Amino acid sequence: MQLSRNLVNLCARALIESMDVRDMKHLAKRIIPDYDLYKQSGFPESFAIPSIDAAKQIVGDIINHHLFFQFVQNLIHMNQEGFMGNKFKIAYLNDIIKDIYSNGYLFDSENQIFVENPKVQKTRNWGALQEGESYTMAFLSIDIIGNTKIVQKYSRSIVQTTYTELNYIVHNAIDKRNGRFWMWEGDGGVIAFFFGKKNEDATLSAMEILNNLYLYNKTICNLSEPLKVRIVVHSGVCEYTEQNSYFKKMEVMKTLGEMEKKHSKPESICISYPVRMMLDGFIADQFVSLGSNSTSKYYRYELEWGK
Amino acid sequence: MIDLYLFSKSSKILAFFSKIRKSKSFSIVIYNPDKYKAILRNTGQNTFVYIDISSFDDSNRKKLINYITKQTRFDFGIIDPKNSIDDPGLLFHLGCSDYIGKSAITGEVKPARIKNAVGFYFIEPDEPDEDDLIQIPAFEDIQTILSGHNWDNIKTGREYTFCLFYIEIDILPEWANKSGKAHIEEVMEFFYAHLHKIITPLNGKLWIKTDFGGLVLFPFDGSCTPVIIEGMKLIMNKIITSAEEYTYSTILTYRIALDIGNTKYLTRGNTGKIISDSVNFIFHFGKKYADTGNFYLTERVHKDIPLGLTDRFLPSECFENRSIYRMKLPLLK
Repeated sequence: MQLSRNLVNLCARALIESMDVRDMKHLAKRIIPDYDLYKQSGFPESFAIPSIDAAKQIVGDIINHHLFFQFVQNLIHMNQEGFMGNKFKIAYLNDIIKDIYSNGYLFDSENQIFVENPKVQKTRNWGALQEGESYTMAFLSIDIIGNTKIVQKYSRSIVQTTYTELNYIVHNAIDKRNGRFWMWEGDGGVIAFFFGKKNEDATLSAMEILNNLYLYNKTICNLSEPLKVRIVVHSGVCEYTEQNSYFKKMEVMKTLGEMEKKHSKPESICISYPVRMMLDGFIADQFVSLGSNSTSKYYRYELEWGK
Repeated sequence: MIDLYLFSKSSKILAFFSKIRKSKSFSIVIYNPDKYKAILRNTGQNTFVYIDISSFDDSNRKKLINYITKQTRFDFGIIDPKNSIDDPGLLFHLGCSDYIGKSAITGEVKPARIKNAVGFYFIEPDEPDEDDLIQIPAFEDIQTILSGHNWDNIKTGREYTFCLFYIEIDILPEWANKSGKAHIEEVMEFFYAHLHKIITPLNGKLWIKTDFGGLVLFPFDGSCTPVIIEGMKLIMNKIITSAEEYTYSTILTYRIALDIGNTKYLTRGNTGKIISDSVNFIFHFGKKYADTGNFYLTERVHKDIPLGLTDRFLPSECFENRSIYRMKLPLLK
């Protein structure tokens, strides 16, 4: 994000009007653990650094370290929870948040981080997740059944059109729930959900995909048979990485793979216990346990019709 | 925006037009070529028609060319993937604006080509008057006065044929006895917000509000297939809707009734004096006949159900001498 001079000055003024230099130093150390204000500013250690110089130096250094969002997140936390046993009212905090919002970022109060506004831009990490950091996330995996046979049986253009239309159905379901494609390899992929009711978002996306795919198969699908998919949903702690080759080796991916292979069925959704546990009762009730109720790790939903 | 009708069932042709389908400069509706007469007889001058002739045999192809070149209401282009027309130049003498032969059908058509075709001839727009409205008996008991696929040509005070979509939240009469007015108003706010999201992309307008729902008008251009699909989605997605559109942690369902009928169009709020058998019928049909959580439609709507989905609707008891069909319901646990 490009920081305007006005926003930088506003942040410095927020520090000056909300805390003394001692608290500024503690705050800076919380964000940059080995931070030394005297070293950075060039003032001799015997000298009391004026508030205005300290604030400008700290804000400048934080920006240089690409830690601006963490800085504002800390200010929000200080404003809400206090800092080192003291209460703080951070001046200009609303103005700072508004300025960041106008630059395409929202504050996610649940996770206490800034994330990109999906109406402005969409990136793999929501503009928030840091490489190497671990997060609890929900994943939806979708896989076309009989991909090889389809590719052999139909012309390239029919396959391409059909898979593009499936991709459109999936996109339509996940975009409105702030999901992100982490992998899409033609015959399926993995979609990540991080914010809000992530387990519910992933599960309801899966249900919508299943329903819309049913209607697609019955109306405009060009194949002579229905396009069938396996859908599984699982959640767990996962280290964020840009590298798909590394992501594929993670535990959460192994579980998704195992669910797909051993527990999923065509035209159904399989969810894991941690996902089901987080669902509203009337949604969870639609998923029947695979195995005995007390020990089941997996649950299934199928689109079934009455008379 | 340019309105296009594309008559083709070839995936190659649909793929050829995929850029146009995504473009914001065009509104494209795809029809089965077999139905060209039914659709085109009321198509007006604001629409440009492309028709793929590959699915017709020699005799029917000649009939089609004869039909389309004789009409003067809209401009058209011919798509000929098999190069079955010997003298394409002749088509232009007969009023054709574009000819897309086998060699031209590669990749995706460029929007510029379509725009050139649309501007090839210029038809002087006529000021429509009452006599120009085409009245063709298409149903047993009503005359269709097509209203188009959007509201551009619909004038207040005139009669048109619409898709009449009645929808109500089932549980509200029960809740109304137990909870206060403010709560019911809150539920209705959620309901109207949801309904708005569903009907807006199909050019629907909530026309008359009722205590627990309302009557939506969709312009009728000869087919109500998209409205049927949307009605089915409302029934199929009730778990999703209940979770995301409402905040009550319980399943909320809708009763839906769909018919095609005629009414004078008046703006919302000024509909009190409307006299229309069709409007009376849809209210009776929705309020007295439609059961909770289900989607019902009349026989004249039933013909627009896509072939693959006809088995999702079963004949139900007649109502006011009309044949009725109800949707099979997805099972809930």
